[in-house]
Amino acid sequence: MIYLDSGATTLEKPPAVARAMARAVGEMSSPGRGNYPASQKAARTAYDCREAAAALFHVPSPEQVIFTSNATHGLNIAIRTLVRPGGRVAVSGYEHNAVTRVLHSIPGVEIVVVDAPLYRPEQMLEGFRTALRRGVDAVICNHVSNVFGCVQPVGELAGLCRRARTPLIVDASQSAGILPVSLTDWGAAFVAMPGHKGLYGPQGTGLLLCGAEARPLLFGGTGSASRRQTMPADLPDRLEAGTHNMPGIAGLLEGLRFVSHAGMERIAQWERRLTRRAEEGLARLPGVEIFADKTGQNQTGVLSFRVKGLDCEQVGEELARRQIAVRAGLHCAPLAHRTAGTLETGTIRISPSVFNTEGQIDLFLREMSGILRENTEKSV
Amino acid sequence: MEYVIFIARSVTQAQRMMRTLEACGIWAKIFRAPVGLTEFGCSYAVKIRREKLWQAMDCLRRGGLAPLSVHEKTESGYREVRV
Repeated sequence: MIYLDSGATTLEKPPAVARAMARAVGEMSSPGRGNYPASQKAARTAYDCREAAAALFHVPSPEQVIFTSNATHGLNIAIRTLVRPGGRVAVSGYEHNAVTRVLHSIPGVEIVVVDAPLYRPEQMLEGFRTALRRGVDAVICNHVSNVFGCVQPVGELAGLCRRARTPLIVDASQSAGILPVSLTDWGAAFVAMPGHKGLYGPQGTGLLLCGAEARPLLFGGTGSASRRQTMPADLPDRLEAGTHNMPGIAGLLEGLRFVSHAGMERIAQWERRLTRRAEEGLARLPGVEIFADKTGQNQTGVLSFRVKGLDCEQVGEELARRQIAVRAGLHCAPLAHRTAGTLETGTIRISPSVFNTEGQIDLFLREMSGILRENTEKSV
Repeated sequence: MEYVIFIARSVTQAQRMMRTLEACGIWAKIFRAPVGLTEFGCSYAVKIRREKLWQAMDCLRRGGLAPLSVHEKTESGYREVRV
């Protein structure tokens, strides 16, 4: 199978990830629960993982790195901390349901959607500038759109938010492991990311980087301050109730080490090279509309396209039959599709990882060409 | 061996203390804090040799770490040390 759906989950992981997970299952219990070796080993591994993430994402202290079960979990903590009923929030027009559904679940929240055409970061920034001038309680922006791979001007936006003294939440789901993410440089209140995409960790892992005080989403045991019936005041215990996912954390640690060793820039360059190759090939096929940044400056290795006269889910199914895995539909981001004008059709998305090859992209293009040819023959 | 213990806010802070101390060349060991020494029960402590106390305090301060409390182990039990 040729797997081109790493924007959802990277399927192929560095071998060290699975090995670490298997070791954790056999050798680790839970951190902060005992003096015995299995608990101590878990505590060391959890700390190593926090430390590795803190170094990679410029977090002042490992305690500010919170383990979550995915980016959605982290975003729920961040949003529910900063957004109160009846509040006002500015979001980019490319947000995922992991942001918009949470906002819709809080009564009376006014959502100011900052729209800008695809790959136009300066217009996005101008929109946020206007929203901040009018006053909002918080700003939420993804670093990279999961549908179109467009890079949002988060660094500049962070500067605007700091000057306006407005907390910023960054959804780094599609950028962590690919683009520089810096809690310190941005001065963001929260940065949420999954472990199972660009960090090459297992599913069920995620990180929330905390630059502000947070309200717990879950309440329960932490192995600390047990006599108290409120959650501990200090991070990370404040936000980590219940038993940790130690196999996941051990795997994530290896994923982080892999990314650090391989280098984010090299990974990003390779993925971008593969999607450019796909883009050039798709452009030669009749009826294919590609969503790409012509300058090449504002897009990561995520490429969306659609085919005239063919439902995107049908294309996805045809590719799956040919052992090629892509994502089709709305990608849990109807807002992004509305902004880009693709809400009615959806798109087909390819998102390679560092493990894909140019040969695989060529095979994908050959199969796409075959699908289009077959459908043309059927229609005549 | 005479030793003192630093009470940490969490197992994560205890880990950070231990590694900070080790980076300063001070041997340190993590263990569950005696219940009687914790204000709210269930905590972690970092043990070091008694004679390293002031060097360790300096090292922790430079690392931005403040223990909840410091206790010296005596024959009759633990005695809080004002630092």
